[in-house]
Amino acid sequence: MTLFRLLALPAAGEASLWLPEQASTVAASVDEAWWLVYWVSAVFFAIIVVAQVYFMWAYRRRAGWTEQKTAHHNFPLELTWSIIPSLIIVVMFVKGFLGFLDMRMPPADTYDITVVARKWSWSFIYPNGVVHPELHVPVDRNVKLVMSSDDVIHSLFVPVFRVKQDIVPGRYNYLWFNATKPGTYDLECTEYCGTNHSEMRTKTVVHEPGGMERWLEDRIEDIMKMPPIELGTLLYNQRGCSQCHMVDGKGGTVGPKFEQTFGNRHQFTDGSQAVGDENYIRESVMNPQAQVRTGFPPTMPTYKGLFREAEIRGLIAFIKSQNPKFKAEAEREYAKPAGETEAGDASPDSDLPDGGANGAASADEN
Amino acid sequence: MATILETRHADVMPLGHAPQDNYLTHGRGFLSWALTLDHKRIGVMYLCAVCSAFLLGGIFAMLLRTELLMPKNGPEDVFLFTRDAYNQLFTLHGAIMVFLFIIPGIPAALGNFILPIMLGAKDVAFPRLNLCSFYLWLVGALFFVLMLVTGGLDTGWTFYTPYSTSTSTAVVTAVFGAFILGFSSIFTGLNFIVTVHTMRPPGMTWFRMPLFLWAIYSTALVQVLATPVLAITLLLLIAERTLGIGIFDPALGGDPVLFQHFFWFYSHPAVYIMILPAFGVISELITTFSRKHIFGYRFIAYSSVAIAILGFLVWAHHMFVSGQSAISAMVFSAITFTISIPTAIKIFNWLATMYKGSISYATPMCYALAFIFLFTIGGLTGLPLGTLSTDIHLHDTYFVVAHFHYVMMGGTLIAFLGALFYWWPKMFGRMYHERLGQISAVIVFLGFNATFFPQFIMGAKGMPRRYANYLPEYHAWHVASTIGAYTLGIGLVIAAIALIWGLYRGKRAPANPWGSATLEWQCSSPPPHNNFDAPPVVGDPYAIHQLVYDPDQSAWVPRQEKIVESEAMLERHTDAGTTGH
Amino acid sequence: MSATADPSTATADPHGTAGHGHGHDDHHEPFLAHHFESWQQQFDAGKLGVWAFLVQEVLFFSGLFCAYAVYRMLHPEVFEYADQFLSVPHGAFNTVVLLFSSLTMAWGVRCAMLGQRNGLIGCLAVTLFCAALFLGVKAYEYSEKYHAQLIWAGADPLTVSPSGMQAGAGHLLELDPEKRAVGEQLEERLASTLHYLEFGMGVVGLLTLAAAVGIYYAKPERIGLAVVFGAISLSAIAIVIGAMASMGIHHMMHASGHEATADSEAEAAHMAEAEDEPPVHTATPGTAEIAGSTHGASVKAELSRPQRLGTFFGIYYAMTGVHALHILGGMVVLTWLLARAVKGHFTPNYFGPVDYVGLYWHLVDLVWIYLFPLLYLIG
Repeated sequence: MTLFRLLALPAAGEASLWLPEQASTVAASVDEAWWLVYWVSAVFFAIIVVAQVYFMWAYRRRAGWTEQKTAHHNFPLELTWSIIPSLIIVVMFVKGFLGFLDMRMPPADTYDITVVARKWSWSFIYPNGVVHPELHVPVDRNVKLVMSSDDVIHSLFVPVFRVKQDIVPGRYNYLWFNATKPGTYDLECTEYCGTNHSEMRTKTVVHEPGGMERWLEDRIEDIMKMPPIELGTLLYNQRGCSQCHMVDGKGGTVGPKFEQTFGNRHQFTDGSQAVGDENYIRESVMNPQAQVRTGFPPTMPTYKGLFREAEIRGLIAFIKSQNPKFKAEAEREYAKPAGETEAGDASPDSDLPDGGANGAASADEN
Repeated sequence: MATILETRHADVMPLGHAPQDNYLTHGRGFLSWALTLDHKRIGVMYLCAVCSAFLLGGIFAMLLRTELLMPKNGPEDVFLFTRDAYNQLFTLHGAIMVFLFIIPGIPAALGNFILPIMLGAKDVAFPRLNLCSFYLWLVGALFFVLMLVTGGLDTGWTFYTPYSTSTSTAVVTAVFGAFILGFSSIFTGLNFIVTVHTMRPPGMTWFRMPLFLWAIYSTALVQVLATPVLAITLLLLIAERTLGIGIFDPALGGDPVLFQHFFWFYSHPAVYIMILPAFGVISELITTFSRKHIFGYRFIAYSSVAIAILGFLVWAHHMFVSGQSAISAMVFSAITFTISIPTAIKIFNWLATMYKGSISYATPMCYALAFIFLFTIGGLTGLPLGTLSTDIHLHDTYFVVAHFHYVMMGGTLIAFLGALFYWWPKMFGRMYHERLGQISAVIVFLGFNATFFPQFIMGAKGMPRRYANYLPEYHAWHVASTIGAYTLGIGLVIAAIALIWGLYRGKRAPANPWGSATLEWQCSSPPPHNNFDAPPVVGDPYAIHQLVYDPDQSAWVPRQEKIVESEAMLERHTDAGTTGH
Repeated sequence: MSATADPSTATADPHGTAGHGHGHDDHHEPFLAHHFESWQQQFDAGKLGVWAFLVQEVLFFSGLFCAYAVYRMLHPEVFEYADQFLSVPHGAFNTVVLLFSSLTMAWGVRCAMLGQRNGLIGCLAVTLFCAALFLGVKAYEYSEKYHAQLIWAGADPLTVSPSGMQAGAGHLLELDPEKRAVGEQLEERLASTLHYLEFGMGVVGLLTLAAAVGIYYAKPERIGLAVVFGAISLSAIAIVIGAMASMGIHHMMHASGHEATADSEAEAAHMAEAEDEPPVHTATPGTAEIAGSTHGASVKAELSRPQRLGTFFGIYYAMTGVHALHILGGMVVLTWLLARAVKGHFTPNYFGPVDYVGLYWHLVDLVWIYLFPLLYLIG
């Protein structure tokens, strides 16, 4: 009986020989379609193979047996085995299509998580601004992923949820699910994306009620405990700075290189000049159009309201440390964790909706 | 396992032609081959070429499977190959197998040799174009070799943008090679269409054409209608990569999904370029070795054409998760399902053909029987991939890999091998090693299932394809699959030995060693330069009962030549041929 | 057409020899391949083959037309704006040239069917001339666009990245707008490119002409080779004429009109564009009023150059480029036909190749008939 369950018809939600366990609301309907197709296929396969093996045995060439003349065609028979499968595939098609519609239409009230995929890692950006390489979702809640890619096509796949969606650069792709079972599951990239495609895997964690909120708070604490330069480096990589600004010969070329930013005198398009100091960096992040350096387009978006004070400090520390002349000074000056400076709590800019902060938790990312 | 082949008179000369008067001896020297316009020689050259490509692709497959013996911890952990090397291996395996082997395999190699003779024509309509196709294949293959030595290729055989426009490997060389191979395929298809339309001898009406010809004809239609779209797509991809023309690259305002549409508009019909000829082969093998008239000739013929046409309307089922609209997903899913009907019709008709036949277990039939089993699995596993909701789960997993290997390899390759054994005596005038051939069929069958069945299970559990590394829970399945692959490899080597042994040691083949009623068995083995001295007598291609076994020639001859003999004598001869020893 | 043109004699005479598989034994009818039973069969096979090939060609181009449709749908603002950079008079001139060449080609097929050797040679030569003329005009158009930086996305500094302008927009930025009008500079650069082209093609034309004449007198038996050289000479000269004619059209438009022609608009656009770029801070982004363009035409243009103009030009170059390659291919086969026509190969029995090339040529013409309105006219 267990063997039968394993092979053919598992109890609701359990893993079988074929499918992993079910952990989302759509999984059940997908599995129903699967078992429908599976059994239809098994029956047809049995009919064909039994007939084939029987004919192979009964009509094998041997002494005392000659072939019998039979009809060359039989229209009613041909029609029968054309029409019966046709009816069956209609059933399969409808079953699959209805399940598909459920998966494609997100309900109105969703918990939205932004997903950025890149070679070869994931960033999940939560509503309070926390960025993390793992997908964490609350149980029994409709979750919608708003996904984009920094480079090539990726595809997000959570086998236990039975959901998958390509992430195409240059557009947003959406995916929704409702996780039904707390636990830790696999999340994989299923669209080939180069060298470490097979390592572009992470975890999906489904939290018990209340667990999600606790986890997010913990992540903010993690940020506060990070050394500022390290936090700045993380933000540089995670928040899109690297798209335009070059560091160590890597990154985009739209904006100025960070090696030259701190401590040098800059010429602006309005004719004025200024030396790059802490205030200049802060101003450039919060209000980039105020001073645009000559030779660069005025294309940088504002990050006002998107960074917590500790994070701005981290960025300043990071950019300062990029100029070799100021590296030692920056390391001295920004030795304490980002959240423990005098400026840390008196944040003039912390108008974030949740009062939370951005940035990622674990320093091991990237 | 005794067969009709085991004859007592090993070296009986075929009637009609002296052995020196055949296409192999018609001219000598390298140039007589290199510049030949004879479809048979071009077919043989193609055969050598595609088999070399198959060998290369097969070696890559073995290396892939070996690498997958071990799961690894993290990106730095390496078993045999680096991640990049693995990515190159699967890309090269796919690209070589698809573009250099399966697509030209049956149509260009065997079709070239067999089609004009089967049709009763002296040659294809455009012999020079035919030779040109072969050299285009060769040039395309040289570009692939050039690509191998100048940085390889790691895009997957599908060349998806924007990965293919951003990777550092030799994409342009490979794509240009595929472009040229595309024109080789177009010209072959064009040649076959015109040949079938205009070169049929008197009496060869459309519905007297053997089903192999219907299949090749349907294939040719797809080749001519689908391949040019691939050609322009690849051209645009080259322009995208070299000039940055901005059509497929999202960074330049292009649409990478458009590339997928273009690519699959060709590449899905290309699946039918690969499998339709195999259907044709199986129709011939089943009827010949069951000694039965084919059942439902017209249904099989029409189903080939139906598959060719429907094959054009399903391309976007490769893109259900790319973000296309639910409406288009619905339409493409529905049409995809309809393709299963003509396919099922063929299988039922083959079974009905075997009914009350006299089934021989000669090697070609062993492969044909394996085909029915494997292709049935391949076809049925297409159903959960056509079903929308389950496809979301199965897309880009090992389930897909297993599915198309069951179809492409369990279908096309197995049929190719069966066809090779079947027509080998006709092509080279000598019989292959029967027992080895049968053994190879069994080993290939077992090895194949051991290789790919575990992949269905892994895929359904969620193992993504194109992964150099995997989670430890899949380890046992991967090991099973790899052992299966080695077995399969051994089986294929045995098959090659059985065939090549035949070239040197095989018994001389009579004109008609199998008792088939199609025209190619009316001319000598190997066929003369011009195929037929006089226009052949065209009748029902499946009137197998009109042939009887003549042990004196160890060949099948028309019944009227034996009219003097009594029914009892006939009975005895058939038995002698059947039971063997 | 084929049924009447293929006389029944064709089937009668060679039938016997063809059966033995040696067409070459028959000195009167050397072009019936051994594997065909009759002229009719050979002709039908060729004709069906060409039709299949044309179907293939249509599908080949259909990919491009699909891409055009998709991008028109995705970026309507670019496509509605971009056609003003294309010169309708040049496009119309080329359309007429190609239509005329289709006429001469069809006439040539008729001459071949009737066995009029001289008529056939004349028609093929005119067709070849028109093809090269077309390419000459196209060469002018490409050069003009190149100098005006109307290029595909990857080479277009505005599309690649705003910062890429500094590196990529080289020659436009060097211009000093205070000293000279931008349009004038563009025109000078264009004229110099065309002079190089005309000079090069002129040299090729004269040399090949000399070679053709030389071969004809020194070795009359190599007449085929002489014809090939002659055809190259003819084409080169036609390209020169085409380029000069385009320049003429360009001047005519400016001389005659106070209206904003496509060309001057293009120039104006580029002035505006040049002025938008960093070194020039005076112009209001998006709008420019330019007086005194190249030849005194006063242009007032509302221009807001979409950033994705490169998308349109990527498709423009892909479509017209692939089409031009087909014209080139057509010229090669026309040359081959011309050589065979001069040798007198074609007879009322055997004129298949002329017919087949004619079909191909009409298709190439037809593709242009679609390209012209799609790219030049509808905005």
